[in-house]
Amino acid sequence: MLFVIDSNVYIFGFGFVKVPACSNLILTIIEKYNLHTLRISRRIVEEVRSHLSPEDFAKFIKVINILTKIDEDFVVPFEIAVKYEAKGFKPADAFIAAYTEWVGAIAGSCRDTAHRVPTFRRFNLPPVFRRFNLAD
Amino acid sequence: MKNKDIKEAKRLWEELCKSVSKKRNPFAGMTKEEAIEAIRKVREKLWEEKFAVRH
Repeated sequence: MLFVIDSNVYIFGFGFVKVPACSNLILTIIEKYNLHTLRISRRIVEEVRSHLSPEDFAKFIKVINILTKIDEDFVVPFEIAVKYEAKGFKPADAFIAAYTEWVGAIAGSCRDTAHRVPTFRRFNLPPVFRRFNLAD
Repeated sequence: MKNKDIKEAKRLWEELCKSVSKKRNPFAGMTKEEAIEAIRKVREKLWEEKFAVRH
């Protein structure tokens, strides 16, 4: 399964706010790396950065570099983001939705995106994902 | 990806979580929804900064 995880899930996953499903989701992706693929955009990385100390951010980048590569923002076609803005998304949210659609993610962690990006499909997701409302 | 890389990713992730738990929590006292709102404001601020730089 291809995942795009939004910044709030990483931030909750660190433990700033106790939401075990967020940490479990990331650990599941790490442990089941042969089953899942993680994608991340520079925008999400920058948002995570703004909540971490430089030392902790360096650790985060090491984890990301093991799991995936960072996609630069400019690779996402402008037209896709505009489509989401027209649907009422704020520009930054529209960009994340566009990125998710562009990579063809079939599962995501941002509730709005999961419900509104057309490439998403519903699967018989394991409990950790159901707890995250991805199966709704 | 090699198994040792995955073990390293898991180790780093756990180290990161431990390190974060020892630092000042910017979301202390907030509910999940309030924290999401705070994160959203940071997102918008970063977006505006990026937009302002380009135009």
